[in-house]
Amino acid sequence: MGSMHGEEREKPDLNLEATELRLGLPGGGGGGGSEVVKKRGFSETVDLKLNLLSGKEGGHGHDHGDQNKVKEKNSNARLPSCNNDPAKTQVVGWPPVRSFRKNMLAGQKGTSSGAGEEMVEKTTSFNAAFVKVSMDGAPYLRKVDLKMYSTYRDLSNALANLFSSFTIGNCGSQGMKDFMNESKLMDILSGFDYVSTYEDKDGDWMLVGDVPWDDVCGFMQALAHYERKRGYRTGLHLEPWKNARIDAEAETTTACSFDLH
Amino acid sequence: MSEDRNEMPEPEVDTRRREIPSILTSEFQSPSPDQVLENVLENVLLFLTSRRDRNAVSLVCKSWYRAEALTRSELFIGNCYAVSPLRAIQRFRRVRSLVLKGKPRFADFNLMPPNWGAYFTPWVTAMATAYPWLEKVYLKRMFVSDGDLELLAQSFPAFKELVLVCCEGFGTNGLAVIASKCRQLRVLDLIEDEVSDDEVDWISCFPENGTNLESLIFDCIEWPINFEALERLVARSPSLRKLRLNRHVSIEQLYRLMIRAPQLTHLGSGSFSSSDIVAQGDQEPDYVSAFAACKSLVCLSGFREIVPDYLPAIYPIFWVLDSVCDEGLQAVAATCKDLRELRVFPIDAREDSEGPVSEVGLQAISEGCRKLESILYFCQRMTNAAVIAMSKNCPDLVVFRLCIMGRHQPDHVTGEPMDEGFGAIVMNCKKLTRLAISGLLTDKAFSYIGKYGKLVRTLSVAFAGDSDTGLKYVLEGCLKLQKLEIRDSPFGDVALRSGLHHYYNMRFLWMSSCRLSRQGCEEIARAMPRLMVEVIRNENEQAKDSFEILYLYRSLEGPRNDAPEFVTIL
Repeated sequence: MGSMHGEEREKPDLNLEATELRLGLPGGGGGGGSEVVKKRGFSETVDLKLNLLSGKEGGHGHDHGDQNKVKEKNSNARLPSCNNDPAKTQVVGWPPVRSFRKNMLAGQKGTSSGAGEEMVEKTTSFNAAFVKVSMDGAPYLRKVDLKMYSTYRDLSNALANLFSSFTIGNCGSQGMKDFMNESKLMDILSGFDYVSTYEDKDGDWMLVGDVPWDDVCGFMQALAHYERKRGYRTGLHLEPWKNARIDAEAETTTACSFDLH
Repeated sequence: MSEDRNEMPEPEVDTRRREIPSILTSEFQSPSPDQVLENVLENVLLFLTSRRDRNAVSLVCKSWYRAEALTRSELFIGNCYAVSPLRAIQRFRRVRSLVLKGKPRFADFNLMPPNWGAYFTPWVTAMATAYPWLEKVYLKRMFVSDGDLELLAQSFPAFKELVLVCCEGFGTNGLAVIASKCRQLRVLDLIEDEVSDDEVDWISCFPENGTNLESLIFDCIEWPINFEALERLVARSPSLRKLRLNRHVSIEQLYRLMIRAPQLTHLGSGSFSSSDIVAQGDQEPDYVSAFAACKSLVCLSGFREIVPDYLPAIYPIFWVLDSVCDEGLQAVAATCKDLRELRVFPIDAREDSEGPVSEVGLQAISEGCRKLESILYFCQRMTNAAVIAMSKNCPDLVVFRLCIMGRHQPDHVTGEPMDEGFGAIVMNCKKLTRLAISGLLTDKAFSYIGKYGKLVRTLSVAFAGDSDTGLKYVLEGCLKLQKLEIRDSPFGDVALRSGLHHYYNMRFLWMSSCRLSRQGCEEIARAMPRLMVEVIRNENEQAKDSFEILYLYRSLEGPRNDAPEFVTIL
């Protein structure tokens, strides 16, 4: 977890020059969401570095904690090669492996993320463009709908809010409000120091509630419809929704488990 | 697929004979000597299949030009913008087979903005009326729409083979039309295409009472297919020899298919891992016997998600491998003495990852596989010694492509540039026609290439060289150079100018993120009217004058009219 300074929470000082955003939002300008879902498009792995400077300096390793590295696949944007970043920067089109082959190899189990590696994976949902965001040291990951943000600054602010509690210590109920999308969960959890999480197919623990409930239901309905319409088994399948239990003694709760091939 | 390996199958010879007036009729008229000569010539030229020979024949005189044009049945167009469909169909009247290539290769790696061009539509439209007996279409890096596929299926009743490599723009709708309307179809090969999902069960669209299918390749399709329909299709396709499945076919399903088609020679294995749908306690199918029963297998590929338990079933039959460690390569070197082509891809295609493959593997392969002709090798680190060893041990190398993934990486043992290694390759491999270089390279490497690489036709350069001199060496020295693709290297206008004498002999030159200026490119365009000089902007670039990519190619047609806004033709 982040440090427990108990400091007054300040709005992070977003030095935009330090915000090295080099990513175009998926779907381009006018492309409909459905287009993005169907076609692979030009998939690319890019480093997106957001240098979020938290309130106080004197950072002892805060730099590492605060750096959110977001890599997005399946972006339609073309990117200039970056010259000012050594080592960790991924250059467009290098190494010269076709995206088809990259996707093929990345589909293998156990190769998608290493320890301390931060990765973003795009979930195709209906009209949203969800990406998974992680931060080093945070106990769980978040999902963010990129379509909700129209500028990089908005996205940057949103990400700062999402992870702010880990850097400033105790989350008061005010902090919790920032996390929860669904007010029902808030009612249940207000006053508790627990949150609901689930484990996704990559083995990452995700906070429950980021993907709107309607979307989740809609996705499952679409899947059932897809299989019915085709009249055959596609090879996708879901495991049953496990019972949600709030275990007062445990810190986190397994709410559900998806396993989509 | 690669011109350098000459993998193109021989086209069918047109055996129709021309009618000659019968000597026995009363209206005997002796044909003129010229006509006899042309008749004879045509019948002789029928047997000439190499396009290079045919090009030479057509230059002899007008009569030979005409005869050759009438008898050419396979039309190869290496750059779809070098010539227009109209010009092609006016000259060649009896084409049965078309090979057409569009975008330059670096477009595959996201270096080119989308919608650059290379549309199949004008070609299929022109051919629909001009070549009613068209049997075969092979497209590489073209934009093909569902409408194009529909027109193709409707217009050519004798259509037999469709091969699409690195294409995009179509979906399962288009495939369904091909499957259902091309009743003579023998080959449907979809190789590394981007296929969109229109939710159509195209596998079920093939003719019900039996097919002539010999080859069905669809491993690039990202969407599930109707497996029961596929099983039925395989059962009613007695000629099927090549089958490459996509990753949605599990090993249990693969087993069922192999049982039905023991005559397979090429198999792409799908996911080669178990679908979780198999209930616990089910009898595991006998994979070893299934593979053993396929006695004709010469080529295996795929293995997306290998579960190691299943591997022992396939040891005896390797030709092309995907991503193994040095130990694996040592095993290959020890057992595959006849190996001709090897491709080693990275499991983790990033610069800074820990790679399992290095100079150890390359050295082992060079010692074990002496007959090697073509190699593509991705690695994290390499030494000159290993590359030199390969140059000496494998003299038959025609294609040498080494990708050291770390940019500017020197020999990791000596710290020196990789100049000597690549120099040895061009010096010792006398048949080399295709070369891709990487790692830390100075102008010296290019001087070797220019001096010894006299047969090199295709050269790929990335993050290499010190100055204009490097490129000059290559442009002045490599007399057979046809395709030159360069990225992120310090070559500028002076170097560009040094190739003026050669650009009309080349198919294309690509330079991206180098040190060119607009004036330099304009100068070239002015000097060479039949050269199309395209400067391509990054979509985000505001300044009209700056550009990322120079792409130049010869053309008979003048600037193309389908160029998008971010392309300027000087």
